[in-house]
Amino acid sequence: MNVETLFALCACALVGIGLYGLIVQPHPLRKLVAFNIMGSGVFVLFGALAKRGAAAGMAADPVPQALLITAIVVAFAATAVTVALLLRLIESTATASLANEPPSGD
Amino acid sequence: MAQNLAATGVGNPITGVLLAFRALDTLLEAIVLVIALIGVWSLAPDRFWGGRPGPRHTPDPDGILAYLARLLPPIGIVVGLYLFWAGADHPGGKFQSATILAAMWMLVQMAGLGDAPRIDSRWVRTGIVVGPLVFVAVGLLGAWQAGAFLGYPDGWAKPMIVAIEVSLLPTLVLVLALLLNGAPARSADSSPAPGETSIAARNMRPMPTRSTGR
Repeated sequence: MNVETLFALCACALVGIGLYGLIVQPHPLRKLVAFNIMGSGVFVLFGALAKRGAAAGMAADPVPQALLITAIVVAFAATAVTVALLLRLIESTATASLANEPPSGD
Repeated sequence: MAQNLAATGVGNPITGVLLAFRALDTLLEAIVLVIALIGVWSLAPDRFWGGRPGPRHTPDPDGILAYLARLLPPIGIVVGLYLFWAGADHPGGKFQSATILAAMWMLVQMAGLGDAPRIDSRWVRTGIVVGPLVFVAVGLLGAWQAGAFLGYPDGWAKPMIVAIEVSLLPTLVLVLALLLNGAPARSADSSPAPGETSIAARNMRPMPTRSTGR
């Protein structure tokens, strides 16, 4: 198994962990963290793809790497907006849950 | 791509991709950041509109945070500007540089040595739009001179890329730091002068271990 395959498998594991957390965790903040873990998996996958697609004389394919920078910045912006929305939700409803009934305690 | 890189005058292939071959991506990315900032600001309650974001951090003059906030920013600014300049030929560039510069500003704010800016102040709003506007202006110039939006005329690629980078850097620093600051939470006229806050905090606060971070 070469390095690129190992990185791609790690990316798959990260996406899997993130997806599991996104489905299982009910709290919006945990969902946000899980979603960011999923995103990190995609970033690692792009790194592995860039390494695999390296042309002769270059360390890696620069196109996926350039897309990665864009993706990281946009993910940061989206996360910031989500956190602001969450804070506003807590401020206006005094709870961080989107459920209609009050939490049952477990 | 490797054959065309020489025409852009940029040594780092990633910078070349970002600003020459896929410049539209980078332009839209900068605009997305500005839109995200507007989105965060629009979540403010009406009475705080135009105010300062976040809580005012009270400085602890003897704390390690205030010490670091005095020690690190000069180093961070030098490193950030070096990364910015080195981005033409080595890993680095405006995004990495802006991240470090914004982190230095956040450190100063969290230590209570400086306050977050009012979001209706003129320099903040000018700084936020100047980067994308210069980018669009360069793109229109390319449409006029080189026949395609964001196309660079022969021999002018490097100066135009540098112009975009220089104008985007302050925008990115401002937008990244203000995104971290969040929505305005204090009205424009309610924040006291920095001096009285720090003196009051020093007199009234005997407990030593209070986190000034968020």
